[in-house]
Amino acid sequence: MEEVLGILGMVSLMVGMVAVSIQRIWGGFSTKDYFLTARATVIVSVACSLLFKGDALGVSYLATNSQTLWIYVFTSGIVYIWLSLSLKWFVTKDLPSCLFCFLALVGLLSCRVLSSTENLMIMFASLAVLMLINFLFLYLSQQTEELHNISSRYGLSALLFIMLAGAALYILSPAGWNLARAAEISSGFGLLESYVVIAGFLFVFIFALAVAPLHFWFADATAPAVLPVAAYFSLVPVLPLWTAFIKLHHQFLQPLMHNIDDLYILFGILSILAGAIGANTSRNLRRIFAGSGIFHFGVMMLALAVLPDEALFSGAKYIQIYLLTMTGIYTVFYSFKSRGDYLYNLNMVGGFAKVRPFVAGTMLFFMASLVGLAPLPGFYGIWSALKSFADVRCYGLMAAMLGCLMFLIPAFLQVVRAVCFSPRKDNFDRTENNIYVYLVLITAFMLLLICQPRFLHIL
Amino acid sequence: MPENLLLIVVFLPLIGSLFVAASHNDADGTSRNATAVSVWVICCNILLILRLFSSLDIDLNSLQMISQMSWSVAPGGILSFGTDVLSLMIILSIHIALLMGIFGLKDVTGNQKGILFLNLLFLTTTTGFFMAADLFTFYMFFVLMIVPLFMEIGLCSGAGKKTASRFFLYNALGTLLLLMPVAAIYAMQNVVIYIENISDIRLPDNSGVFIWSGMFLAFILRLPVWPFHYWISSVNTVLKNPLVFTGVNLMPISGLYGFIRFWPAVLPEEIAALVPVFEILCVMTMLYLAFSGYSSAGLRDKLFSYIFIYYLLYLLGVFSPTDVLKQNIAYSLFAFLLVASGMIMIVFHVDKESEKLQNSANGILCLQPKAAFSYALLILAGVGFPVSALFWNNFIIVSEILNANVCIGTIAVFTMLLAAVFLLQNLYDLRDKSCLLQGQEKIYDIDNLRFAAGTIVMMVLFLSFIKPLWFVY
Amino acid sequence: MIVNVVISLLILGALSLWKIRQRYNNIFVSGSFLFVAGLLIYFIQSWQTGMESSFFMLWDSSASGDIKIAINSTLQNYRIVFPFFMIAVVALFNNLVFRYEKKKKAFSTLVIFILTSFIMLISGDNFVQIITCVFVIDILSQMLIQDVHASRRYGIYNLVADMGLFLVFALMRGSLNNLNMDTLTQYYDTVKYKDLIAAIMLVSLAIKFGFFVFHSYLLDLKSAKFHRLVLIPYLSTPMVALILFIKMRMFLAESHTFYLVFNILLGMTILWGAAGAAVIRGLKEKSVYFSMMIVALLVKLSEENGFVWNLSFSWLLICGFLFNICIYYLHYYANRENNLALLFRRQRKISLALYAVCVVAIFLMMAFSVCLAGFYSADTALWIYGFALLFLPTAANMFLQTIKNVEQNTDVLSAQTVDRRPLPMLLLIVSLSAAAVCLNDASWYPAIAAGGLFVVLMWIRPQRWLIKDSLCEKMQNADFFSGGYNIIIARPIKFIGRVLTLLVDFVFFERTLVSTVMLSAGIVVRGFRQINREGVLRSVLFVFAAFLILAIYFLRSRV
Repeated sequence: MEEVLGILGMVSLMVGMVAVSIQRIWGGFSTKDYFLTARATVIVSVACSLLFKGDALGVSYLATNSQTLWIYVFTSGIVYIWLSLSLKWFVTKDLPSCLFCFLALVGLLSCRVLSSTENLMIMFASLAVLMLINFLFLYLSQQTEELHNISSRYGLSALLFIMLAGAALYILSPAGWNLARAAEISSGFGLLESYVVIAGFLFVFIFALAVAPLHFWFADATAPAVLPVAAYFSLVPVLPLWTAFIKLHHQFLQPLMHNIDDLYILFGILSILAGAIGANTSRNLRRIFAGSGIFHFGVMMLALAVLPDEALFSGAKYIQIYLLTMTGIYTVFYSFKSRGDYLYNLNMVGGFAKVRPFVAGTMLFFMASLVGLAPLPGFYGIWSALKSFADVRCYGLMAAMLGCLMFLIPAFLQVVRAVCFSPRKDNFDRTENNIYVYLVLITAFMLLLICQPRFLHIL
Repeated sequence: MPENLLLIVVFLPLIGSLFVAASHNDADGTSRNATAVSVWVICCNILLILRLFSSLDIDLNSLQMISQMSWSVAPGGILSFGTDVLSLMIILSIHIALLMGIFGLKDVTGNQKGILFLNLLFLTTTTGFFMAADLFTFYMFFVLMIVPLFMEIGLCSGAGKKTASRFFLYNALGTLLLLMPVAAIYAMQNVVIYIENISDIRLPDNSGVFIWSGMFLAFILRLPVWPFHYWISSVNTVLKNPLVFTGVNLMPISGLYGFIRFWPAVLPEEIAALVPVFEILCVMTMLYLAFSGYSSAGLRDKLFSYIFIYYLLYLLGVFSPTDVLKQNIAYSLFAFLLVASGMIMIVFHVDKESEKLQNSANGILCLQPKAAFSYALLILAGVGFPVSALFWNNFIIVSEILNANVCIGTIAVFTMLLAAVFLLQNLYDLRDKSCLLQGQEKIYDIDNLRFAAGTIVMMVLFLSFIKPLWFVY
Repeated sequence: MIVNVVISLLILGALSLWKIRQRYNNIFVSGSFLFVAGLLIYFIQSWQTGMESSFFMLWDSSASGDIKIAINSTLQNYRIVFPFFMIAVVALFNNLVFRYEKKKKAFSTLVIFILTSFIMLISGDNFVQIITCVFVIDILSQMLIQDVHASRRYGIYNLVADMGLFLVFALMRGSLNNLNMDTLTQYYDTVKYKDLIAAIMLVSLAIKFGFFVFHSYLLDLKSAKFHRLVLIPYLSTPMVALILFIKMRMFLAESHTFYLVFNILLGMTILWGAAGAAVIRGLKEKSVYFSMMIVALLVKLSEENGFVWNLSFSWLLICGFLFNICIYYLHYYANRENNLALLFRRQRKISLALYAVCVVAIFLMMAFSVCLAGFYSADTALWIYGFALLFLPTAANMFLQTIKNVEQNTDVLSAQTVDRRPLPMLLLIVSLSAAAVCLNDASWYPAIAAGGLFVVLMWIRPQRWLIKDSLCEKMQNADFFSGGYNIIIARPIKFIGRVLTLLVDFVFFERTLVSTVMLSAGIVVRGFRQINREGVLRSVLFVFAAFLILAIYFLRSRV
């Protein structure tokens, strides 16, 4: 009975999907109705998950513990905010939102499964679904030649890695796909088989996580995509993916290949370099913050390489703080609007602070947190990472990380200059009330984290 | 009670900044409300600081009234604040300097409310910095200081927007350089480390070089030592706001203070070899500043050169292998900051009014008797005449520098002399009636408020000459 | 005791800062004169009792040592203070009787403060007190000069000198780790950097004395009011230099070259002073040149006398000052025209008063010669005769030239009346001259000889044959030394400053360092953008790279 109740959260999401589909089939529902259904579904799902905490479908499939539950609640919160903010765009453009809401719910469900599964097959299936949703979001959003090409490339690359992961799963199939047992079975494999298994599992994740050198799709996809889609890429799947990857690393990859840490360090350094430099290559706001994201993912990879096993999951806090901040940033992006269109280029947002000082102020606050300014929450992550490097006397890593952070700062300064110091260039649309509400909430939560960092333990 | 007072002093400007942010601009676009709030907050804080002085044991040569705030991220779980004569003197002078800067804002147009808001934030961070008792708190405020100032520079630098970025990048580099050693130290000892005890920390194998040089460079980056001076010289040339100019020119004290606090007598042996190199760089920079100040025609350029020559003098004092200078540096710095801020207030006014003159600013002070009086007195104090605590404390500082190294001390005195000469020459030029042409546009003198402020500062300076801590009972 | 005098003067000075109505100014000035004169009497009485005492007050203490204010009432200090006290009283009296000073009260206040500073300088025995007094006297002197043009170079030159002293004292304090001058004997034993100290002291003292090469700032005083100017050489920086010279003598003796260069400078100063006083037509300039001569002689006599400050020396100093006052009254009765060459064109006839001034000058010459005779010895004979040879004809020429130029005036009607207000002042000079003669137990012959010679020289005026008018014309406005200062010091510093600013800030940082960093960053960014350009090939490349990296790691770990 407990196992059945444990899946109620997921079931409610499925019900929501069905409800959205029925609304579509039935007809006569407005854009707002779809969003309302989707948001209500998210709330119900979270409520069910919180009320019925038991393991869903047994420990070997979907293990639910306080950590996975929190990750789900956190992700759902982001999804809720994202849906609320995205609604306006669909209303303004008068576009159908049924599929969008449906995909959002599917994505959330996949995230839930991905973060809580202990089974490699389920993990990679949900990962494949997430990639498919990414592809569909790109493919189905406003069709431009650029987006079409990007979605094709993304689709092809994703397919390659899913196939590789499939091959790895196939190799493992005789012994079953339980994470805990997979590693010990794999240690007896030959060279090629081992290579395929590790490449399959590792690459599909670092591709999905946009860790260098497989980061190439992330900035390309977020920069030209419509804001709701870009926000989805940047916010929704990140935490579940990292949680799953940490689990995979801890239970499978590390036991299988003991010096995989070196590989992480290499990927981490490449990522922080790529992120920091990449953020400086464009005046597109989303590309800049995508660069920042890649940088932070790189730091996370470095942290994974040096953190002791028992502290591995505390690394997820770093990502949660990052996501909290990025949610704030994207909320601000929703207010960069002129004549119904979201502004994405620095040239377009000149003098925004003179019109919306509060919004610009919160943006500065979030950016300061992203670069790890003490005592803002972003600093906690950077500080923990640095301390973990210092613990193992990796001063070189510290220097590399801070050096790249130094390279990232000019990109942020560009943003500050444009938003705060440039003369006003455009008329900005009125900022919606819900944007203010979310900004206040996120800022308040971050301030709370500053004053009472013990709330970090919730994260 | 004094412990709580300490925290109030740190955070009162922060609360004030919220009121400033909430204040309304007047119909004519001026920010009288914001100005009034700022002035009152600073004045209240000054009174509280004076109250703190009375609770201080002046003879005790270490941080006192240690107060702690729990903050779980910090190693040891607490943020510690404390104070002593040195830090309180610096804080008091910074408050007065910023107050003078606010008075100087009358001539400036633009986003005053924003500047005032950021100014109070800056005041909070600087006060926190100078009251930080442990390494982590010290680092935190060391970083935080640069943000409001960066925004202030950006808001008022107009076309020179790159200036603000340059300022931030240079200073951010310093903060990252400090972050590395701080993290490394806390990785070794995850307890509260009081900044006064830093020199007692024993570091294993080669970490010492890495950690101490990181800290050393972080502090040096805040100071205008060649080749790190460029950030501040490039920023100063574009600033036309006296308050922001004052703020920028207060920044180097953080580097100086770091040296005084961390290594009051001698540097750790791992980096001791750096000292002679930096001493030479210091005097080279002083010479460079003195020459460029002498040759430049601009009032603000001269002022900038003067201010930084003195900062470097203090740095040389800190580098000298003795810890007896701490108090002298405190007294001297107090007087120096008052003089510098007073001069900034008047120079910016004179500079603005001189734009109305057809040729140069020469003779302008003949039309501004109040400004002339205040400026002359401040210059007398500034160049080292015995009208303020600057005089005999600098005498002691210079004597210790000379004792450590005659060549460096002699060059330092030479640069002080050059600075004094170009300031005096400038004063004579500004008072030279023969340079004034007839039929000029009307030149306005400083208003009564600024004159009163200047006079009060002079009185404070004079009293500080007689007894540096005259206000302590 | 000196300390009582100092306290009284400080109280008086503080009271005089109180702003009162203009009409009460004269009352205050009279009152302050009487008070200071009374203090002088008290001072002399205390001196005569021969009691010595010390007064200490802790000014401030820090880890670097205690700073004390010391006022030592020793006989030596009484002797040194006396002439300055007298000069101050005379100056206050002059201020009282003089009609053209608008700010009489301010002038009196300044004189009182200068006197106080002098007393504290003389009686002080720690570095901080001494250097403070030196600086304070400089500030007050600048205020005394009042005129911007006149005080410009004065201020800067003295600042240079003061900073030199500051450096020397700081050097000593650093070595001794003590602020008291009585510990200087320890320093004297080791004498570190003796040549450095001697060189800096030489320049500083030469500037302060206004010696040859460094005297041009004194000539700028011509823009100042004459009655203020006369006070500068005798109650300001040159006398500060004299006191410091006496206090620092033992260190300077350690450097052999110091006295050689110093004596050359002394000789040159007397010569240059005589030449200037003879050639230059301005009475103010003449006053400065005469002062240069007298001060240089005083320094020489002090040195030859083993730095013993006796009564004759004090009276010499007073006579020097009174001589300046005489020149001033010459100028005053010549209708306050500075240029002798212009006197006959628009001058009123007031020759009677001018003759009176000449008579006073004769008395003064007699007193001066009596005091000078007290220093006569084989070593000083050359200096004294040389001085007399240069001084007497030049002074005589100046007095008679003024009278003659005035008398030659035919354009202007005779003056109706002579201003009698300065007459008490002239009487005071005569009285003081008489006192100088009487109080010096020397023979009367030098006095008679000097007086007689002065009268004869006035009659003969040998300089009218010696000095050509063409040379005179060229010399009037020539300022070799300020030109030299510009060429040797000011311009090179400006040039170096500009070049450095250009080279360091602009060329090195802006154009080289910052540009290189920006360029490098630009290259990196462009390269990165190139690698990350959208396209299938780029995706393939990254994927291939990932596989390759893994393969290498994989193989390495297996090996």
